[in-house]
Amino acid sequence: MNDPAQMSANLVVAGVGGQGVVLAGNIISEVTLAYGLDVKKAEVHGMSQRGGSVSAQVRFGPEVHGVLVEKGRLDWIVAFEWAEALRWLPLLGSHGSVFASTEQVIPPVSLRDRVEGKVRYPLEFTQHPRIRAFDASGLARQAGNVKTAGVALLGALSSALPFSVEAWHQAIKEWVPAKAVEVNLRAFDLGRQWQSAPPPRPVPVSELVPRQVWLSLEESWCKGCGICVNVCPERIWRLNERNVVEVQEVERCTGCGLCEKLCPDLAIDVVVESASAAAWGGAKLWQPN
Amino acid sequence: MATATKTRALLLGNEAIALGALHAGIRVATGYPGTPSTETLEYLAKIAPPSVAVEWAINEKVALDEGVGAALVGARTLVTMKHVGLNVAMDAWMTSPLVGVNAGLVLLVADDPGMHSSQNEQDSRYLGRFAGVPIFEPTDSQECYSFVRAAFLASERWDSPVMVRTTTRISHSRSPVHTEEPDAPERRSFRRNPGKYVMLPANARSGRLRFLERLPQMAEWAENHPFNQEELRSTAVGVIAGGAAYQYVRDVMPEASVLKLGIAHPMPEAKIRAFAGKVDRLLVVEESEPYLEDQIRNLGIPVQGKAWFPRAGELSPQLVRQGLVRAGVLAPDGLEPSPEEWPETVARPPVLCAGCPHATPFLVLREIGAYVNGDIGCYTLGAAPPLLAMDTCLSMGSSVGLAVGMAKAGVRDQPIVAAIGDSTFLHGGIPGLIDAVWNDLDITVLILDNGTTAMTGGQPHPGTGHNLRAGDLPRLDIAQLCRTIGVRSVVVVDPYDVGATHRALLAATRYRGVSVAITNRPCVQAPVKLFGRSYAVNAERCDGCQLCMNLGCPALGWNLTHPDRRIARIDRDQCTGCTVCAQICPQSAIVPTAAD
Ligand SMILES: Cc1ncc(C[n+]2csc(CCOP(=O)(O)OP(=O)(O)O)c2C)c(N)n1
Ligand code: SF4
Ligand code: SF4
Repeated sequence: MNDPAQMSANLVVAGVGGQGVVLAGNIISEVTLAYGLDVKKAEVHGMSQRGGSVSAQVRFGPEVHGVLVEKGRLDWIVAFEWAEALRWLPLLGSHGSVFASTEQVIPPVSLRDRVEGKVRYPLEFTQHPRIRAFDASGLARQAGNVKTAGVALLGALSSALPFSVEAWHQAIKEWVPAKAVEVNLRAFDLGRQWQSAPPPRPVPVSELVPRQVWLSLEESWCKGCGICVNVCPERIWRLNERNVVEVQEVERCTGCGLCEKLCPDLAIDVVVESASAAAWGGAKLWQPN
Repeated sequence: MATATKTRALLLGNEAIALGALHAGIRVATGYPGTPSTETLEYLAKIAPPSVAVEWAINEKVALDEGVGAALVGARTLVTMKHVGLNVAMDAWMTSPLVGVNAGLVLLVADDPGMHSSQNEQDSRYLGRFAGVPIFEPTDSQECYSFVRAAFLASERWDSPVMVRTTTRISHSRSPVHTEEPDAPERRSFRRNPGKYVMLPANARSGRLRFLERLPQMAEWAENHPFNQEELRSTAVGVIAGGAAYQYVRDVMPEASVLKLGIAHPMPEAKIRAFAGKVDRLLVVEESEPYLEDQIRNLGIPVQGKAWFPRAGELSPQLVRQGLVRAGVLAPDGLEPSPEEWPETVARPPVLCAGCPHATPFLVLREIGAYVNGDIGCYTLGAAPPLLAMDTCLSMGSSVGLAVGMAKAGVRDQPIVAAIGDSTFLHGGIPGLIDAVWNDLDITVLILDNGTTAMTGGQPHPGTGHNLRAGDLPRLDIAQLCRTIGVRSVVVVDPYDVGATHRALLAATRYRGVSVAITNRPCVQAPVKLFGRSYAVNAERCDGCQLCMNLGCPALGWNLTHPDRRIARIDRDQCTGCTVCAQICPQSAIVPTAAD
């Protein structure tokens, strides 16, 4: 293995808010510092508190200048969340590899296709010799606290780097609050012992049966109260100049039937036809509750 | 074990600035939060002894005024803000070099190229040069520490405030820092000198002459300052750079000669000429604007910069490499990323937190159809899907003025609303509200009072009853303040009560004249994380209508295994139990979980 005091490498720790990404980056930096190496670490703060991506780039070696990793020069990705691992893959060098948690945090933007119910999120786990994906949260739970998943991943990473276990333990002690040191050390050791596991399987997602929706409006019954305009989850009704509602972007109608149910003048009809109309709720769905 | 003993601390650029200021012997530090400058004061509050006053100010203008006051009476003082903050403080900033400082006054301005968390990207170096003060530009945490210390000395030497300008990658990066013995500056006292300190025109005229006199002396000082360093290597190409750009150049083209400018104002003209004479090709690599490039060209020196490097956004080593390759001074290195076609991932834009008290008011405003002038804070996300309830957002406090402007312009078809956070209202919204009352206009100001400055991480403000370190302070009553200003319709409403919020906002927007509605639920993240009993979706009742999904609550998602529709599902770990989704569910399918 490389002489630790001469080694240089570029890493990215990636995850989402609250997973301890910044802390993990600090632990790695502290380890390299203990070997007399130079180290630079970039953190992305800002929007992290509100569910955005969080990352820390760590560059270490005998001499390091900039804090950012250049495309094609990334050696390691340590990802606490699956989609965040994928985000950094385009920067990975041809020898770079990945330790990724199989944790999947599906953001609200992934759930915008309400008509077809498609999930815009990489649910499949990519099989690749340089991507090691495993259930870090499981290891963390085994260690005693699911929040130590990130440190378990550092344990796995540590087995690929030439730094001593003692140096890692010391860095963890320095950066983790005193009362959490024990459980983090356990998680680290479990991660370090982690060898390989059968490739993880994605969560099953049901395929929705295609269906057809018809919306009809009896214009002469509409008195322009605007209730449907406000209740429609897709916001596709609007009041026109004649103070009668009309539909814009009818293709966005999911057939939920709320407007039909709440129209006080029974002016709206929503008809859903589907191969499994009965299973979809059938007649029951359209009755006022 | 080969581990050496630890002699260096790993500090964030902002922390290094705080430590440098402390070691320079500051007695006062103030500022207004703003990414990426915020951690500086927060870290100082942790490490400084109680004898150093470390507290937030109500806005940047007041912070700088306080800094001038403290420096004049002899206390070395640090003032911190983000780039746009200096716009707010600009009036004081431009005259402060004429007044002078007595004890050192250093202003940290943190720019945010690429707008990681800002409403614009602007290059503060122009504002330092505009005011005619020295600008120090560190390239890593070590320099943050030593440059700030030097900045205090420069401030006293030139009897002028000094700007330390960082960018996100300097302020928010961690690297090792060696510290040195702290200074114990002699205690200076205030000596009355109205001829210098009172900016009557006659005094300001002599102040201006003093100022103009020192500029050439300052330029000479910058010529010989060790922070401007010539690193002569290959003479084929010479690069002039400072800040983060310097580091990228060193990484990407280690063989290039570099003139590193640690002082961005005044520019060392002779040094630049000499350097230009030693290299065949002269380039400037700088982030944001062609600040150095234009000045160098004005000296009559042939130079290129923005022809190869972007002006918008943040620089990166890739962009620097591409620029140098296109400029023809660097051969492509053939190093390619791994050739695989990787699967696509999904964007993860920020969202309001689960249970954020800002969600309901925007849901309601959208229903009312009001013209909503938003403002700067977490609630700016009310503009994003799925809430989509904001029409404008300009700068901190602007919402009220924009609403007043719309009313003056005669908009009548829909109610006009200004939606503004508590911290932002106190920072810059009050004068606008006074104007609205004064002109008897028909607007509604919605003050989203979550008891903190949430966007920047939860800093206190005058409405919280405490400051960064001091507790038990007078608590400003925002409703009372509005009444005192002359607003006759002031209502406080619980944003977790959808019906009440609807009624309150409907009444406020129908009111003739200025009305104020204030929401009163605390931020669920800061100062403490709030959790209540979580809610769950009854899969039998939920018909998948997606109405709850319009809240944008990140705890709400889909049950992906249901065979024929996407019914809702609540992530128990994220749900804070705000009850809002349960209130809007037409099927009453959202119910509290059993108490733990
Ligand atoms: C002039 C200026 N100063 C500081 C900032 C940084 N900043 C962004 S939002 C914000 C305040 C947010 O607080 P508040 O209005 O209470 O809204 P909240 O985030 O709590 O919802 C600050 C200080 C800025 N954008 N502009
Ligand atoms: S931090 Fe507070 S104010 Fe900001 S989105 Fe979260 S709950 Fe809302
Ligand atoms: S009660 Fe509903 S809206 Fe509130 S936090 Fe829980 S899931 Fe989100």
